Amino acid sequence: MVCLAIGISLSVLAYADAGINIEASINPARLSVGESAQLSIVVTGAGSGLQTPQLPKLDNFQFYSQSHSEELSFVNGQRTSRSIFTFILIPNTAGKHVINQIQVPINGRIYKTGVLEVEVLDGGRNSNSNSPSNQGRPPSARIVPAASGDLPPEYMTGEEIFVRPWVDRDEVYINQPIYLTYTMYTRASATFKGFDSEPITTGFWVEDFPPQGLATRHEKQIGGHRYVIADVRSIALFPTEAGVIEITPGDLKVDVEITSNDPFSSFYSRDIFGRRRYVPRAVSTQVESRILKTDPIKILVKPMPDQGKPNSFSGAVGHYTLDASASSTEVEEGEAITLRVRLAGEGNLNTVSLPKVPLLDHFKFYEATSSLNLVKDRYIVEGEKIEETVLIPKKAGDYTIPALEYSYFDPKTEKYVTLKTKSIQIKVKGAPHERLPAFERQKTNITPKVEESYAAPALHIDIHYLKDSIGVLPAGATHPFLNRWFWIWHLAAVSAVFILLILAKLIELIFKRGQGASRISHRVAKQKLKSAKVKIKSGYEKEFYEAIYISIYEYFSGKLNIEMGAVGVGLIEARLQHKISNHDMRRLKRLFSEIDFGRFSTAHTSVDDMRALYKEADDMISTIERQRL
Amino acid sequence: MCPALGFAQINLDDVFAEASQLYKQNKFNQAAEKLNILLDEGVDTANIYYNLGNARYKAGLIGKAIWAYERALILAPRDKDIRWNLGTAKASATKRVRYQDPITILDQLNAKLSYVASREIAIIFTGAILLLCVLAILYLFIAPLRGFLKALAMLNLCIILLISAPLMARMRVLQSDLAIVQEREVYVRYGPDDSNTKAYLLQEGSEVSIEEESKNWFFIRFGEGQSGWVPKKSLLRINGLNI
Repeated sequence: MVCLAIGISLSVLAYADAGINIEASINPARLSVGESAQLSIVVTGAGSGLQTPQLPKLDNFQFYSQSHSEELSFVNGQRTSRSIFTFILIPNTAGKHVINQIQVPINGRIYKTGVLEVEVLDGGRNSNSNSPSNQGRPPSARIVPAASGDLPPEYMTGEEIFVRPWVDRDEVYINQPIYLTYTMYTRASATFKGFDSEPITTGFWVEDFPPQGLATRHEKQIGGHRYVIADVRSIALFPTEAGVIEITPGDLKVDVEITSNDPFSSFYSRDIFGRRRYVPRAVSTQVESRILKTDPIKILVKPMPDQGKPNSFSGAVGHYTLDASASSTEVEEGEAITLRVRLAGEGNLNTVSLPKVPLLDHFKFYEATSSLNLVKDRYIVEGEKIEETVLIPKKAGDYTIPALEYSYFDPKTEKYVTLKTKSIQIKVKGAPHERLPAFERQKTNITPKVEESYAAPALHIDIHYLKDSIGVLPAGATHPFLNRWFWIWHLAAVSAVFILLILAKLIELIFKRGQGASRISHRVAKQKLKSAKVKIKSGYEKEFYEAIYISIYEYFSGKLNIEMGAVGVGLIEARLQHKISNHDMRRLKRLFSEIDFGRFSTAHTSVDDMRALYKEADDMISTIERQRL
Repeated sequence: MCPALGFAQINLDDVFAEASQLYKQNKFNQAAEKLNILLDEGVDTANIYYNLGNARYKAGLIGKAIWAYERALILAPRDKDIRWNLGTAKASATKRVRYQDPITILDQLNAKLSYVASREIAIIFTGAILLLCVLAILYLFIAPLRGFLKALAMLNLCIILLISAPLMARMRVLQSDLAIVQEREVYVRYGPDDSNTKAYLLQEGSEVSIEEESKNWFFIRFGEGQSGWVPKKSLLRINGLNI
C-alpha cells in the first residue's frame, strides 16, 4: 500500500528559560517505512558552549546527521546565537514510534527536549516527492563506486550476508576528509537496522551523510553466488592529528528473511502440540536478526608539508573561495558600513576561522556577527562561513579596507593556495554639523578634555549572584527598641543609678555632719587659740589658760561629736587610741595635763611657758586634723 | 526573633543548599518555595532574604524581589550585594511609584544612618547605659577618681543623647509601615470594596505606606500624598507581618 506522506510536522518546545531556547521538530510526522523525515533541533541563546545534540536510542530508525548551521549576532550590545542541527530519520518498521528526549549539552549542563511522536505507515519504499531528502537535490557530485571487482580475498567466503566497510583513501593529510562507506553484500532478503555498536573514530572529526534518496544497489556474481550489493552508510572523517590512526567501523544489525528449503515443510509443519498440519509455502519464512562484524581500518595521516607554507595558513584543508564586500562604499560620517567576509567551499568549515579585518584609523569597529551553513547533500562536506562587521567612520576622507588574505592546503594538488580579496575603497563625506556626534562638534572650538574614570562602564546590568551560606542568625529582635521592655529595662537602669547616687549623697551628708561640725570646731579652735595668744601678750594668765582650755575642749567636742563636759583624756584616749600614734597620744595627755595645771594651780607660769603651751596646742590641733579622723 | 520549635526537625543548611541548587537549574519558583520554608520556620537571615530576592527577580516577580531585598537590607544594611540588587530591581520596575514621607530632620538623619542596623543602634545605646551604671558605681566607691569619673559620665551622657536622635528617627521610619506592591498591577480605589471607583493604578514594586486597615483592605498613602484603598493581598509589608 502506497501512502502519501502528509506534510504534518510535529514541533515540541523543549526548553525555554532566561536566554536559552531549545525547540525540536520533525517533518513530516506521518510517513511510510523507508521514507525519510527531517528532525530539526534549534537552539537559541546557548552561545559557544553548545555541543552536538545526542539523539536517544532509535531502534526503529536509521538516522544520519544532515547539516549544522550557526548564527551569531550582536544587536544593541546584546549577543544572540542560533544553532540548527538537522538529522535525517528513516523508519524501519510501521507503527507509532516515540523519539525520546534529545540531550543537548550546553556549558557542561544537559538540557533535554520533550518527546516526539512519529506515525509510520506500512507501505512501499517508493520515492516520496515530499520527502525533504528528495526535493530537487543535484545528483551526487562524488561518485561512490560499488565495491565489485575490488572485493578483497578475505571477503570471498561465500557467506550469505556480510558488510564491507571501506575508505576512499588510506593516506591523507591532517584535516583532509576520508569517506568511510559501508557496503552490504547479501544473497537473502535483508533489512539494514543500523549499528549494533557505533564506529570508534577517535582522532577524527566526524560528519555523517544522510542517505541521498534510495540506497545505490546492484547485483553481481561473486564466487558463484549472486549478491545484491548496496551502500548502506557513509561518513566523512577529518583527521585531527598526524600518525597512524585506527578506525573501528563498528558492527551492523540486519534482519534477514530465512526461507526453508525442505519441500515437505512447504506442506506440513508442526504446531505447538507437535501435530503435523498443512502450511503453505509462502508462510514458511522467518526473520532472523544478525550482527555483521567488521574489521578495523588503519589510516596514515600525514602532517602538512612545511615547504611553501604561507604565514597566513591556519590549518584549513579543502578547496575554498573567499570574498569580501561592503554594504556601501560612499557614506557620510557616522553612517554605518557592514563589511561581509565569506569563505565557501569544500572542507571542514567547523574548524576554520576567517581572516580578521584589520582595525582602521578613524573607524569604530563593532563585534562581528558570524554564521555557519554546512551542507552534506552531495556526499561532500561543504558550505559557507560568513562574518559581518559593522564599521562607523568618524572622519571624512578616502579610506581603503585592505585586501584580506586566506591560505589553505589543497590536498588534490598538494599545494598551499592563498586567496586574496580585493581591497575596498570607502569614501566618507563630511556630515552636516548638527548630525555630528557631540564630541565631534566640540572638537571644532574647544580643546577636548580627557576624562579619566576609575570605573569601567557596565555592559549590562544584572543582579549579583547568590549567597553561598545561610548566614548568621541574628540573636535577638531585629528592632529591639520597638519592644517596650527595651525601654523599661533602660529606664530602670538609669533610675537605679540616680537613686543610688541620691542615696549615697544622703548618707554622705548624714555621715559628714560630724565632719562638718569637725571642720567648724577646728576653725573655732584656731580662732580661740589666737585669742588665747593675745592673752599672753596682755599677761592675763588665767584668761589664757581658760581660752586654751575652751579651744581644745571645744575642738575635741566637735571632733568626737560629744558634749564638751564629757571631753576628757580617758575618753579621748579611748576614741583615738588606734588613730593617732603613741607619741602624739603622750603629747595630747601632756597638753591636757598642762592645761588643767594652768587652770587650777595657783603657781604662776612664765610667758615662755604660755607661748610653748600655745604652740603645742596649735600643733596638736593641726596633728589631729591631719589624721582625718 | 526566636526560631520556632519545628526548625530543629529540618536541616537548615540542606534546605538552603537545595534552594541554591534549584536556582542554578533555573527553577526559580521552586527555589523560592524552599527558602520560604526556612522563613516559615522563623529562620530569617539576610542571606535567605537575599537569595529569595534573587529567585523572585529571576522569576520575573519584581515586587516580591524588592520586598525580599528590603528585608535583607534591614538585617545587613552594609551588604553591597543587597544594595546593588535592590537598586537593580527597583530600576527594572520602571513604572513603580516611590513613597515620599515629608522630609524632616529625623528623616534626613535616618537616611544618613541607613548603613547602621537597628540592632546595632540599640546595642550602642545599651552599651552607653551600662557604662553609665558602671561609672556611677565606681564613683561611689573610688573617691580619689571621682573627678575623672564624673567627667567620663558627662561624656557618656552626651553620647546617650546623641544616640537617642537616630534611635527616634529609626523608630519613626519603622512605625510608618512601608509596603511593596507585589502584584503586577493593582487598582487603588476610593473605598475598601471592589465596587468603589478606581482612583489610581499602581505597578509592581511601588512603595506605599499603610495608614489603616479594614477587613481585607489597606488604606495607603503613596507618591506625593496620594491615597486610597487596596486589597491586603496585593501588598507585602517590609517591616511587619504579612498574610
